[in-house]
Amino acid sequence: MTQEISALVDGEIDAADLDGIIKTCHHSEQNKHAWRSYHLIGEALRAENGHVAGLEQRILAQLQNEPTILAPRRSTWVPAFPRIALAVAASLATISAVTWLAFQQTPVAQPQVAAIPPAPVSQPVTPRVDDFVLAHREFTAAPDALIPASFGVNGNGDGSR
Amino acid sequence: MIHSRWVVCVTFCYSAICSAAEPALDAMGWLTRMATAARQLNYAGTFVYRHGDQSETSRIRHLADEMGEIEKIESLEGPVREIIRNKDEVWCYMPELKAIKIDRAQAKRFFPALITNPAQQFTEGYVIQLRSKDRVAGRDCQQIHLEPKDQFRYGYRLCADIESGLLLRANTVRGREEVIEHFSFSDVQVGQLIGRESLKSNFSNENWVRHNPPVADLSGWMVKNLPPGFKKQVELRRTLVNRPDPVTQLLYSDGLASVSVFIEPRKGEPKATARPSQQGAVSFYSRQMAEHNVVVVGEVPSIAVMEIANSVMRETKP
Repeated sequence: MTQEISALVDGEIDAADLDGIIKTCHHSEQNKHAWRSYHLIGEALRAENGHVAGLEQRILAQLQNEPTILAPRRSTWVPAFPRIALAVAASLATISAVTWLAFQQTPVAQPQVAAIPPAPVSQPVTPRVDDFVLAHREFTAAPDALIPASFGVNGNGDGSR
Repeated sequence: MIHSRWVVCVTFCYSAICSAAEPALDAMGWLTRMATAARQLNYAGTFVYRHGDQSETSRIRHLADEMGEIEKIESLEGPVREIIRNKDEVWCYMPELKAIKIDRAQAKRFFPALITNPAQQFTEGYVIQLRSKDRVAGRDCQQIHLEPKDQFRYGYRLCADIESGLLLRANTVRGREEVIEHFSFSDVQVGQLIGRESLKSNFSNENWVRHNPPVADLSGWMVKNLPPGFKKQVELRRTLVNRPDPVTQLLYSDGLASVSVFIEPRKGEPKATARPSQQGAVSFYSRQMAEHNVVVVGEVPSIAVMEIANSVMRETKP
């Protein structure tokens, strides 16, 4: 059951199974606990929340109890770090870049995704978007795109002294 | 020769500055006047740019004299940015990064120089209409609407200063009402004296890193089905962040909307084709080809980026 709850937290459950799993979640204290823990773990890995550190002991205990479930959870979140970090850095420099990360979540036409909630972190196209958007907007009148994509927030690019 | 040039110049200046007294211009006349005013007048002001849920304010000073055109734009919010544009180059100063980015001036234009001559270039994509008068930044202005003729572009609502012809407000509009991009002066003075000294950079750029413009390059790639009125502006080969290999960028524009086509060699297995996506006025679409990825980005509806991406092909082997 914990695997299903974990998948539910990550939005990876088929709509057809959703009702059943949510009901089961409510029926047992252990399942409710798992639900809370997975949210906390997700937040901690994404470093979303300053006060999460205070809950370290509980999370560590949870990690020890259920290593087989937590290992794959980690692997889905950790690759997101460099991408998110890049987007945040870009937004500090260019004011607006971080919104491009939201691109993947605002699909225009989505006939095939009605049943499955999108899982943006695991899809490769998301982090690529802002690079191209910035490279394009160098040529528009928008004053927000003054840092060109070829410049690079982490110092690479074609610079010369 | 010199004499005839002076006659042209005087006529030009006269039509740009004094035409408030002239009989009413038609919509095309207003577009021409707007393009001329942005290039040939002195002006200084503060403008707001809104896109999606973001907003930023910049200060601009523009000088046109016998030595040519020069302008300085400074960001008033967020990181300090200073842009100096002369007739050949655009220099963008980024003090906290100790860096300068240099671009070719013809590839980059800023508000209020959104409209360029000839005005006839807009007739392929837009129906141009003169509308009622309005007020922006305390000045009376004439509204001109450019309604898209097809589904491949958005509409534009412009308002030009009655006295000088300078563009004071530009809205990009989806459908009938929804404003998705917005430029507007909150304060502007037109026609005053501006000293060249005040258009110099505030920064000494000693030991700053300089980033030169990407190299122009003909790649042999082309777009077979371009929407009407779109023409290629530049073609570049450049390196993007996080990409070891250079990509090709082709920039197309219909005079108002612009679209970039990026082509890069594909490594590994093809990935699932992305759904078209949108953020504010910008649409994004990517497509996998046999050996390449094609990415199309532009301030156009998503149908346009899809149409363009799907007709990218190789004209010749480079």
